[in-house]
Amino acid sequence: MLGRTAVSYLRKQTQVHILKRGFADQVAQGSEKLKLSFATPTSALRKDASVDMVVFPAATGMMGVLPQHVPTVAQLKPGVVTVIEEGKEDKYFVSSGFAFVTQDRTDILAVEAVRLEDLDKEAVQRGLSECESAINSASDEVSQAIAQIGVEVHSAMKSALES
Amino acid sequence: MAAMQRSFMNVVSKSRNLVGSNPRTPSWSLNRNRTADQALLLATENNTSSGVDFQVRFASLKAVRSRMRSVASISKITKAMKMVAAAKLRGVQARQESSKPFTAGLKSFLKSTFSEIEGKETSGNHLIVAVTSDRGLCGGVNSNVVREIRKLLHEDKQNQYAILLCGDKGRDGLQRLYRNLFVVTIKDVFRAPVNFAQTCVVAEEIFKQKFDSVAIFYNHFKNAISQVVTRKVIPGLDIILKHAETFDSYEFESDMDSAQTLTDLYEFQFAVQLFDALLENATSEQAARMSAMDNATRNASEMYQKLTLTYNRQRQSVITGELIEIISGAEAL
Repeated sequence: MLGRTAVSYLRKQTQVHILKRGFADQVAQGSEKLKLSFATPTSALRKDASVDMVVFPAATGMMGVLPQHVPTVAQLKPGVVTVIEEGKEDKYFVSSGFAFVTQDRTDILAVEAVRLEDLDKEAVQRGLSECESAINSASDEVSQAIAQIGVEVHSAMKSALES
Repeated sequence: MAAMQRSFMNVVSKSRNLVGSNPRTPSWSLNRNRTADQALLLATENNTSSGVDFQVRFASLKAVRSRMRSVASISKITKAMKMVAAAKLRGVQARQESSKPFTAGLKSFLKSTFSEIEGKETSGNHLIVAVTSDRGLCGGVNSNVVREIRKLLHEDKQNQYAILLCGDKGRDGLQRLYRNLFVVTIKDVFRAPVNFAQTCVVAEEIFKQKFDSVAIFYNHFKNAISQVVTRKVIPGLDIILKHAETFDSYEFESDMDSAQTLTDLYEFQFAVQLFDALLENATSEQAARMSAMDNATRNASEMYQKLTLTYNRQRQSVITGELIEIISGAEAL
């Protein structure tokens, strides 16, 4: 059914496969596009752009959105947002935020977002080990939680770079 | 001739307004410790009567000259402030423009959910967030916010109010009457350009308070010459949770229970709305400062022109007086 198309985002090869076989065809038939706004407090990465599909890291798992998706509010966790536009993929890393899918448009509001290729592998590795050591040396709950978040974000960045 | 006399009187009375430190008409005597301003007053008075006194004329010429100098330097300062405000306005406006999609993305969602809840509960504890600037000399933006809050507090005696001040200038306007309602004062919010991280700090401070609804008072930036005081009401978290059925048309994707998700969503949308309000106010502040300083510069140059006129007239009369003396002296021989 076209209305409910939350797909779990698998590996890259299978994703292309799924697109080819199922959803992309249907979208092409209706010649419908997804109206997407993807913004951070300081910049707009997409503003009312017409895209084919967007995949974002919801707290429950990766979530793909096609046109006419059921209205959804999704909390984002650190991970990769993929915007698929005319067969091209644009990848961004987001730290956190919310995504609002309504009948006629989709808004992804990320607190921070950078292009995936702008991430520095070595800096990520360094940050990860720093945060890990901070967890062990944390004296109170708050600083431990902060370090925990740091580890989560850094390991998400690391796995995003490796995939 | 009569017309000339009248217009001259006009100038004199206006220049007295400009000098305007002492409304009292000074007595005509050589008062040794009179100030330069008074000397100028005396001189302008004296010009309309027939009395002639060199010493006073000298003093007054000097007074007019120093007055001209100070007006000129004031106009230089206000002009510089205007330029600075214009440059800052450009910067902050660009910031606001680039954040528009971020805040607008939430607005369409809020319109269908939060705004329905908004009108349902109006009584209880209200928190007023007064967004004002830290610096003065920016026209009426701060006093307009203060006036709006005063009006609300004056008219509504039934509900409990608390005030959280964001920016320094709101405190000056409200502390005489409503000091006991202050809960938190945050200053230097606008020192650095408004950013989201800083807004979150302010928002956390707000969440520490107990309230049923929050009203954010700020200046909405319409354009460079018009800013409108706006009251943005956001219902409290408890009310949102009570009316959670409003969100039934949406599916929630979260690994936590729905109350926690709703709390997270609430805090996020609050921070975004506050961010929007702070940005609007920062833009309004710079725009208002720019036009205020523009007006000040124009007034100063007007003042300078009038003083130049007075100065030249005085100088001319000194020369005329001296000529008369020389001629009559020569004739007497």
